[in-house]
Amino acid sequence: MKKYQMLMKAVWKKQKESICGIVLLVFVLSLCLFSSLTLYTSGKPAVETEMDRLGFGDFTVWVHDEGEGLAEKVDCLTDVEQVTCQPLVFAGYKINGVHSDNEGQLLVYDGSVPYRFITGEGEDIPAPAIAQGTVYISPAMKSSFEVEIGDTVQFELSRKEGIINLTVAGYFADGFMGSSMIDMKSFLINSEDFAAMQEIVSTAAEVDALGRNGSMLHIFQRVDSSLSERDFYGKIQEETDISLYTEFTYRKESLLNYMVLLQNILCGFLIAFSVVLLIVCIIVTAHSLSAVVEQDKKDMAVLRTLGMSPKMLWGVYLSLYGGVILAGLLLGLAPCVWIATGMAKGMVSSTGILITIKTPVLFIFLLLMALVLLFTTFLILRTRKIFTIAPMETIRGAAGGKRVQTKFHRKFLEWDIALRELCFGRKNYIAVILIATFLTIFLAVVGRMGTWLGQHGEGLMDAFSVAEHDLGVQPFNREVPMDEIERVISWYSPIRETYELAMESVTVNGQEYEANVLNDTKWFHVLSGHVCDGDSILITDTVASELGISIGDTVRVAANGRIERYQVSGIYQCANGMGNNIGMSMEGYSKIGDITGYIWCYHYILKNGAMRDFAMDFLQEHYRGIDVHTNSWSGLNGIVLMMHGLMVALYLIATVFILVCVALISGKLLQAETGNMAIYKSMGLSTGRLRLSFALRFLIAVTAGSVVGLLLSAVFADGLIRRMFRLLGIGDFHSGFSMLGTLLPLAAIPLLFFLFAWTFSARLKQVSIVTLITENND
Amino acid sequence: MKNKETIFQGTDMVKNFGETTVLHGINLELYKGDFTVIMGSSGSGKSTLLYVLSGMEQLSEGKLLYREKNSSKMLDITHASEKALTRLRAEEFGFVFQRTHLVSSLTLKENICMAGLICGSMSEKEVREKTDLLIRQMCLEKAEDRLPAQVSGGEAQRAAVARAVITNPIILFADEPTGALNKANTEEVLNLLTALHEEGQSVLLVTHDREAALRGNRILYLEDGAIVGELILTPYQGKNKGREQELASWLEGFCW
Amino acid sequence: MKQNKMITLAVIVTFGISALTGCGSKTENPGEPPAEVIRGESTDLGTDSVQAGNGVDIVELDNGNVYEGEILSDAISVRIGRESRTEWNIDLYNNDAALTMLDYLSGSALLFPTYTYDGDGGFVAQGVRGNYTDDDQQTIADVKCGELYLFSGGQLRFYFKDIEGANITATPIGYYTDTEGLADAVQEAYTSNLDDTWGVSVYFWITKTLK
Repeated sequence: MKKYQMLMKAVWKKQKESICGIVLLVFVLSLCLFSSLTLYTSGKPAVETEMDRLGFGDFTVWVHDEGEGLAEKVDCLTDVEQVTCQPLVFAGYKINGVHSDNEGQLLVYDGSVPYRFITGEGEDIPAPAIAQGTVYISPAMKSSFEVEIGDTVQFELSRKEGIINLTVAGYFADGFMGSSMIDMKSFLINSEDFAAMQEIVSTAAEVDALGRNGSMLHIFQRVDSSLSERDFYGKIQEETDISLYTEFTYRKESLLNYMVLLQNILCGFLIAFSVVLLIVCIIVTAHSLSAVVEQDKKDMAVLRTLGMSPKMLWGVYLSLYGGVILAGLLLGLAPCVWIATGMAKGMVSSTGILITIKTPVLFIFLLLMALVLLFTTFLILRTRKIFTIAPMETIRGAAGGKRVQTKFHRKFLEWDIALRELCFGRKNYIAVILIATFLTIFLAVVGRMGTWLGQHGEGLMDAFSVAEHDLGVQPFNREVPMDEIERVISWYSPIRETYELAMESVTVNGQEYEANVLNDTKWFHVLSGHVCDGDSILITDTVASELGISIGDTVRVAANGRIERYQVSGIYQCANGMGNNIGMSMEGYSKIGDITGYIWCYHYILKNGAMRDFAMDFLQEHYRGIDVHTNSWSGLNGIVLMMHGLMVALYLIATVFILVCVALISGKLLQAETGNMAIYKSMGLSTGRLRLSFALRFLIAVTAGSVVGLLLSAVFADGLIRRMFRLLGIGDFHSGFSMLGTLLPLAAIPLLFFLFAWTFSARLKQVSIVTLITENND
Repeated sequence: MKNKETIFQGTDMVKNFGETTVLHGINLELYKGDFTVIMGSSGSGKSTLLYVLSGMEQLSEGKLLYREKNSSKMLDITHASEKALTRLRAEEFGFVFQRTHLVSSLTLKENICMAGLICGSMSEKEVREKTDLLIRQMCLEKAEDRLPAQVSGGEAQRAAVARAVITNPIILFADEPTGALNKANTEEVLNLLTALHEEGQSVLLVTHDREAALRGNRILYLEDGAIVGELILTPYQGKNKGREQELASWLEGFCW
Repeated sequence: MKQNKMITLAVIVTFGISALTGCGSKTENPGEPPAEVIRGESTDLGTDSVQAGNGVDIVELDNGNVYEGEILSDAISVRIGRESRTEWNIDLYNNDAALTMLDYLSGSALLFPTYTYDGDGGFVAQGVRGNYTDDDQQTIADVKCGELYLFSGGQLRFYFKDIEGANITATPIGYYTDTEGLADAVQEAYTSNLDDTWGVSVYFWITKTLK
């Protein structure tokens, strides 16, 4: 036992740098993996618990007008367990001069619904008594409107003395409207303010009314009901006149998916990154272990001549390295709840809800065991070499190496030496190449997504809207002077293109969807097939898979009591509403819907898109009876911010990883090549030139790896991202050449490797020619 | 000695390693064209003296001056910068060690050529021509494209000598160059050094081999870090009983 | 010390590269448009619109009315009634009102509902978005069968009977090139659509035929 300890100590003393490096790598991997998994597994249950606590039904129907009567009617139905009615006021609003694209819903807070109040930084606070004149908002609005406590929210209830200003007093966790993915936001107000608002809305003349009274009807299905969700809701629609009042409906499951979507994207990225880190970790550990075994071979051979069995030696290395890997995993695991909580708090301004972190103990334990098993198997394989050490041959030292032909030129001597060493010791650099390849693939994927996302989230805007546009203006009545509005828009920027869009509810084979009706079908993002005409429709991937239909099939599309048969002409992209959309031409829709009503929104594409916000502000300020919007939505800023934050975080983690990898690999290489380095020095090659040459080896190897990674990412990245995006309802993803997705990983990874290798090669300064000579003069 | 040009001038040279003093105030001059041999028993400080003279070790006390190529001024090696020492190693000093210390990833030819490429005093073409010439002179034609691990000790050491002299150094430092060689190879290497000396190359050889020492024309004997004897011999011109006896009787005085 | 500098440099490189994910210049607010732009007194604005045909025609219609202006021949074809298969051709005048309508149409048949049927007045009518139109208002004493007019306020009327002394002020849109049997077709479509749940009087299938 004592022998064991002594040996362990000796190996530790000799290899402490590489051991510490491995611990650090495994620690970063473990931290990244376990934190993101903890957040991921906590997300859905936390939001679901919050929705249940706040009384969200199996379905919640947002209706206009008084909802109590409707609730009673629905409650009488056999399959209904319970219906609760939460009154609200729909109203447009403005914060800090920014007009919201969507209405908000004002809810009274009197303690009957147990809302959770939080700070903007995601800390829980006790439920306050909301004072008159104040409002509590979702923290997601912090990113979309840059709103702070003390700011004023201007609610538009009526044209005549119906603009109500409320001061933001704090934030609350909005359990079912909070996420930046959801346009409509909830506002909690005092009951007196609420009553006053209801009064304003109900007494306003029709022509003056801007807001509407409404309710949320939370409908619960009986547990013993045999109806499917769809049939259940169909029955409610059939047996009551709820559809006459319905503004929109959400199933609990679909809203839950919306609410957790952002953090799932974030966690998905981090988990994918962790997998890349795991691969890199294994490669680095493999390289390091091989080098250690190689380096200690002589000592081991001597020990064997002294009677130590190879099994004993193997045991020392296995337990030491196994121990440090386990230590790294546990060290990373320990703060994962703390980190996940921090991430949850940090994401409050995107998710609008504070996710309570619960450690999935069993899952984490099993994963930890799986990782330990993976690393142990791998350690066993890598240290097997110990059994093959032949004592005397090793002590004598076997000559090795294969001649490599590369030329030397005085002008490029550093480069030529680097290339020669690289070719000569190529197996030492396979690890570097592999690491560079994996990191490049991953960062290229991230970069491609970043480019697609764009500076302001243009990618998401396009994916979530039916067709690209800068400005949309929907007139609600004949009085709106559209010619004048177009002149105003043209003053800001010439109009490049214009088309009209209507978004109307329809059913396809009995299932409810939103029809995107365009007067010019060329604007649809058609992924396959061809655009629709008067007799055909387009469907999204989501609809195709939900209904099990494809191009060429005939479907029944119904709206307003009319039904027509259409052929599916193609698949198009529109992720709005999780992809539950169909595309129709105006001619096609005219068969089932009234195309002459005020359903049309005029979309403008400007020659100078930067002017859109100014034009929108002017129109919102000066015209009534219109809805003006851009391609963006209020929560987009939060999402873009989160995605950009994620990219920076990934680059930083990658940098730390590269740093540790270079430290480990360069340490071993320098140790192995001290002799050659000293000889070069004795020949008059300066330390600076030697360091440059050393760093260049990494640059060459990593650039090669990065190019391979880039080529692989060019082939596979879009497909990978496309698969992931399909889960979000985004049907297609294409990324071409971009600074972020192509040049950045190709430049950044080799550059970082080069810089770190240069830094770590500083130890070459200490390489002494005398030590070399005296060490070998035996 | 007065008509000879001094290339090294050391005054009161002291070298300490921690509390151990290895060189005790040595005063020494080395002259251009000399084949100087430093002898002494193990631990006498002879290798340390070579490292000090070649700038690989810094003096603890005293002064060491070196006359640079084409310069009338003496450079104070004691306080020379790393950059200046690197230049000296590249252009003015040549080294041959007991172990050949060739770069393991380069062939013998590349090892020789590399030294010429690092040194900036010759054109690339000249370096390549001189490499070929040295390979012929050192009879390395058959081994030139082999790696150091694939050749005999003698071939490797000859390549090391060629590498050391390709830059036309002012002085060739040789630290026990025959210490790891068999008799035949030893002879070969010593003949090479002698031939170089005959062509005017200054050589400083550290050895405890009497046969090797006979190749020199100036022998210094070190004991406990101090020069205790100096013997001037006629230049080596093949085996000469008289020279051998002179050295033997001189060494007997140091109980050799 | 130098090592620290290199690590700092690497961190700066990383941050710098990461920062590339988003940076742009801010556009200056041009202010508010002047009143003459809003009133429409400025001439250098507007969208590109379809321009077809050239030259001026003086047309004497079958019904005796005379139109002075360019004609877009057989611009649209119409079927009257939801189940009808009979095609009627319409010539359009080359004015903004007609061009806006034409812009609105694509090659597929649009089911166009009219909500007003006035048997005595001799027309069917539908409110359309009149915001772009009214550019060529005229006063017409006698309206003839087959004529289409756009009234201010955005009502589109199709006369299926001759109405003498109608004295209307409206923008002429176009006319049916063949009026024989037109009145009967409208009458039949109206009768067959009396139980329409939407309250539509007569449906028209409109297809743009002008390329």
